[in-house]
Amino acid sequence: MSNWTQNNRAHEATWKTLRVLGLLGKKVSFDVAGPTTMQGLRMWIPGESAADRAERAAFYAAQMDDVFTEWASAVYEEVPAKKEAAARKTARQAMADALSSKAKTISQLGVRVDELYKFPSETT
Amino acid sequence: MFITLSITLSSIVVPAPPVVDVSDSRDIPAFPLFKGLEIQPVVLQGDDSDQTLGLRYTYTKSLARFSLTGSESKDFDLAFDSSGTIAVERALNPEDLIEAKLAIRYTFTDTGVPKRPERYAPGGDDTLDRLALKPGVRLSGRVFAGHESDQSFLERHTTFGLGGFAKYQIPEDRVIWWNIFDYPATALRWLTGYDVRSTGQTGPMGLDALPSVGVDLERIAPSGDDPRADIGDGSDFTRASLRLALSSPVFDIGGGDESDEVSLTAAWRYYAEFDADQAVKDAGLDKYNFLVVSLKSRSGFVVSYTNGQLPFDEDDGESFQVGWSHSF
Repeated sequence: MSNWTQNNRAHEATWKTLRVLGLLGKKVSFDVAGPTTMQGLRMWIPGESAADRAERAAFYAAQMDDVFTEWASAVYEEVPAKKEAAARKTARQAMADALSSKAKTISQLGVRVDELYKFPSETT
Repeated sequence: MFITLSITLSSIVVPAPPVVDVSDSRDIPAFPLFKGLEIQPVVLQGDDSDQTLGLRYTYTKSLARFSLTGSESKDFDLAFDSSGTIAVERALNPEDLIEAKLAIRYTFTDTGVPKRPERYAPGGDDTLDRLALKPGVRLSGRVFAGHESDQSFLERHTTFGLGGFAKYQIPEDRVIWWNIFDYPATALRWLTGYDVRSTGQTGPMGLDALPSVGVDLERIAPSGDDPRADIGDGSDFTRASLRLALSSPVFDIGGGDESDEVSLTAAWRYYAEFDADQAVKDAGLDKYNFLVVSLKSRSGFVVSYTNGQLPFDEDDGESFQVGWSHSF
């Protein structure tokens, strides 16, 4: 498991994207974001039903996927082009699972993003 | 490892304790079934001063996903979700409802993420900073069958029905004056001078400050020691439920890179039985309200106020919860 570092493009993109989407405040630095749990994101609402939380997480996961692939020019890791649609669904579901997991940290989400996507100039 | 430390401020405090996250078990081939399961030990307390230990769990799992249209924005999936709170002493459990539902769901998602203009370098360092989101939406409809009970499984409901979920997402920098749900949070931002937007405007927000809406219409077959049977009505009945949930930032503590933003959140559930017998109405078993209002910080501090009753709850009471969570 890679450490939470701004030298990793996937980690940096995760942090920036969470801020752009409004899940984190714009003042939250990269280092502060890493250990923040999903409960600390704005989208986490105590008392919300598990099903509705999963819907909310799925929406944000789809947003993250579009930002990564469209604006950060990421591609899915080790997936032939003809299976891109399947890889997209897998990536979105994996991020939705992480976002709806109270105990997960943003750094753990970043590691998962690193496993799912290959970013330009990525050396790790 | 996720460890929650909690502090007790008064005799009506219910601390938020550690979460056991087994959702990362994808690396353990023997336990893939546990992916999506979270268990949280809790200390529960109702209206009086007695407390009891308990476990709160959630479990969500997408079992199959398929697209009939080939569209990225439209999906069918088969999903299972379950949640509940189990207390050592049931009478002190303010959330005495265990739910499990298997659903076939259709979803439509428009993320509001526009195409990147050619003039911005792909993957450039400042490209993401130039992203201006458009409004997005998620709509889903589902057909489900499920089971709900009290924690002892003596009072049981078998359910089937239709449900839906809607979330409309408006970007952070826009002021949404018609979002009356965000007026309390807007007032707090104005009072504390919290500049949540880069524009400096304090007006009502979109994002999750615009409530998501969940609805269910279900047919319910009671069984076991159902309280409605005790008053002479053990027949099947139809019930509608409505759920609203929202979250909005209100102030921050500290400032600068280390600032700890605090959000005001609310989750409300309402259940109403159609054409209930007068005896059921007189016993107060035809309608249930359940509200949780919280102040929660980015760093994990949570203060919650809970009021109302879920189906199977014995008391229509209120409780407070204070806790602090941190991941080491």
